Amino acid sequence: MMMRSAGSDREGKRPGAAPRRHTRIIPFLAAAGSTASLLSCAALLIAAPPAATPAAAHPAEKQDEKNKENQATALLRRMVEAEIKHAFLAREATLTADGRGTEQWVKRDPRCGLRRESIRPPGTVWIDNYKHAYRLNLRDNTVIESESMLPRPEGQRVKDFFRRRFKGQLLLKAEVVGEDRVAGRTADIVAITGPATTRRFWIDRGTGLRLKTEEYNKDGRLLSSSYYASLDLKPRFSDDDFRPPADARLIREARRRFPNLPAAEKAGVRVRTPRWVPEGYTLRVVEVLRDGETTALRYSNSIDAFSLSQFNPGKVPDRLKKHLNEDGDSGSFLPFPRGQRGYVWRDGGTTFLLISTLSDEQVKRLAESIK
Amino acid sequence: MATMLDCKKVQPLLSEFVDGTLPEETNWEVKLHVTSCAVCQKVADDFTATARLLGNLERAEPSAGFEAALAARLADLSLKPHRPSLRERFAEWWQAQGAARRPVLASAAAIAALAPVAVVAVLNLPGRDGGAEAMAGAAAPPVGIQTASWSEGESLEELYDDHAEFSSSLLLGDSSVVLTSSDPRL
Repeated sequence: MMMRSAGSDREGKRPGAAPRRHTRIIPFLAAAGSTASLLSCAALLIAAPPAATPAAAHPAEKQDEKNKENQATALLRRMVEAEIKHAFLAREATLTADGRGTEQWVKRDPRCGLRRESIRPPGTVWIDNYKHAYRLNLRDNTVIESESMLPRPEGQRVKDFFRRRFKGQLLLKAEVVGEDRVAGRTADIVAITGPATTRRFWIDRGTGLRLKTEEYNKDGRLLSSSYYASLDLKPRFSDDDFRPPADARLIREARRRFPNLPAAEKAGVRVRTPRWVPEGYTLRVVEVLRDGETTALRYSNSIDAFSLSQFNPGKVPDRLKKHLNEDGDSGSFLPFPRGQRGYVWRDGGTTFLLISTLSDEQVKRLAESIK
Repeated sequence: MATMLDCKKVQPLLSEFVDGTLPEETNWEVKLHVTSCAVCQKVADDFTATARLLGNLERAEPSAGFEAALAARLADLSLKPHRPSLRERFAEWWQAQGAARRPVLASAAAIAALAPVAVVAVLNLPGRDGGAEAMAGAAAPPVGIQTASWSEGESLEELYDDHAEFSSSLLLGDSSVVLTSSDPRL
């Protein structure tokens, strides 16, 4: 039905005639309808629930998590500091998932260094006295000397470690997961989880020393376990404990170490580097081995590490060559102990070996990024 | 947790373990290890299965005339003249030298063998390395330097050892790995 506005003369009013009844009602109905619609819309708007607000965070839960993390961090810090504070003599047993096991004497003197002497199997001693590291073979009385891996300013290392953590650059999660007794002492268990591995530390409540360590891969498989069967906190050491025997045949390792790439390049070292590394990893050391025929870049995220070695043409170890295919276009994986994997490939005449716990995608991406 | 017996020590004993011929104490240690080590348990199970299969095989009998042929061959060998080996000839010559001559000959042979080694050691002493980070000095010159090239006998384990030593030096690293990563053949 066509609605006509008031005053329309379409129907042709006869002059003088009174207006028809429906012509008065229709405009009224129209106005009423419009008003009702407007009122309904207004009512709906008023009754509509407010826009959903984000679920409010539970402050108590967040604080609880933060407290646990702080507690774990504090224990780890105490553990790291204890190792440069306390002298001790321990008998340590270690077992790895691939069946390798040893028992060792561990002698630690914060002033003199660290000595590990293999009990089972016998015959090997490793010493680091802050000046040099020595690997002593007792069977033929030879000792290989290399640079120390125990830098002295460890207090600074501890600070750096936790400073990086505060800035959120680490991808590590730490939490206290329980308590236990090791070597007759009560220990708190702290688990620290990285992208590829989880490590658990049993931290002595009395001294902060780590009494036991377990390492798991991301599937929860135990990779290795080391624990102190005994601990003596008042050991007596002699000066000879932290140096090799005077009559040992000394072999000096042909290795140079640089803390970063600029230092290596300044020394004339030319090395190809990856343009991409997994998040959290930083280059820690550049090593030149075997008089320059092999160079290794070693990266870490503080819990995991990977090493990228590169071999000049003609200087590839034979046992590595057989893992390369004939044309060398594609790489291949090979197993290493403690859940590590090697990936070997050739690019532009240089052979590379990557030892890591990285995923397949990370390995391939890193390999492709090498310039 | 598996016992501290290394799997590499246990596995050569598993055949005797399955046969029940090990001494009692060793048998106990192997048994203790096998009960907690899945790898060695599997090997022991395989041996047991093999022994069972062999026990079920028919005993093979030698062919007719085997014993007679064997006797003939042995007789033939005993009648043929024996040609001494190089080792036997050297031993005979050495015995023929007098007691006074033997030390002189031995010393001369040792000097002849060591001369090339001494030459190589002298030639491989470290030279000047301008601009590079100097290696820590030592009062006495080193006896030897690791050769530049990877030799035939060196294994991938040495490459892993370098990586493991680095891992152990990390703040949360486990320094026990510096010895567990060592080649037990060392």
